Amino acid sequence: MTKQYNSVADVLKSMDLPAAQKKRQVEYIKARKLSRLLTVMRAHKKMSQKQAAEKLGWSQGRISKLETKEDRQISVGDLLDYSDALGIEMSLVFMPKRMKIVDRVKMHAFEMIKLLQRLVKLSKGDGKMEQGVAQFHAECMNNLIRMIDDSQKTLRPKAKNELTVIGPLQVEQMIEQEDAKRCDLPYIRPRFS
Amino acid sequence: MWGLEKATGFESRLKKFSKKHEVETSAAFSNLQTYVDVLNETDNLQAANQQPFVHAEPDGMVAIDQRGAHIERTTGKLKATRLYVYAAVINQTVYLLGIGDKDSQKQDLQTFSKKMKQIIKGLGND
Repeated sequence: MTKQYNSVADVLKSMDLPAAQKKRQVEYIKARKLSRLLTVMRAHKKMSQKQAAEKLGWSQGRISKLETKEDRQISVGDLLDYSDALGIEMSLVFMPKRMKIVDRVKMHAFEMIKLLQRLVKLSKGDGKMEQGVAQFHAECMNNLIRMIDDSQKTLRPKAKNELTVIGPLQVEQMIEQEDAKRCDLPYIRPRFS
Repeated sequence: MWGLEKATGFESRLKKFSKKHEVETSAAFSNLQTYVDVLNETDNLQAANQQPFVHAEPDGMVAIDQRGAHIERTTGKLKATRLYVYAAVINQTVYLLGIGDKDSQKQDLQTFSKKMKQIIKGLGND
């Protein structure tokens, strides 16, 4: 079976090329994470470079350059304009270096709690709003549980189908049990007149 | 999630090409990563194929160019590069077929188209 790779950097690393060249090529890709994200976001919004350029009053060439620029050369101003054209709000997050995925999940959870608390504070004193916020809490809880459960399900191994063999003796026992239940079941509510 | 696979002969072809045109190869590979990222994010082959660095070739094959590559004027001119790939929706895999420049484009298209057809045939037999 041919080997599958998750990223282009992994493909490059697997190649029989001079180590220094491989390093340079991987670095080239790494240095354009942010500009790549811009292209992906634009594609997600089903917008062409031309449409984005029209919204910004830029030339298409300028958009093209921005989307292939090295991250270090992109200005915050360009990012603000670009995200505005896509109808996205930009926010900067500063976090400790090499933060573990688990800690990042926790960080987002705390951020969510903070936002929910802000909603609670805003709604205080307004009955209708309080009701809405309470409903939103319930929706959040349901959705989160469902999403986490969906994620966990992808981890759980599928249960193997087991063959159940029932012998004639067991069948007879089951029929007897069913009959016994049937005798007990018809429960007629006593009538009081 | 989309993955990547090297077709037979891809590595030797790349080794030869990147020796002469390293900057162009790096840029084409960077664009290939963008192509895969768009596929992963949108799960829409058309959206990925509509990116400006992607050129439609016959039978569903696409060529990714070196857009974004930068070379100092003193060191020479950029070579128009084409990284030929085939994105198979059936198994969410981008097959790397080969790389070449504009001069060898005609011959490359024939060679890599054959490779792609073999891959498609193999996928049909699975």
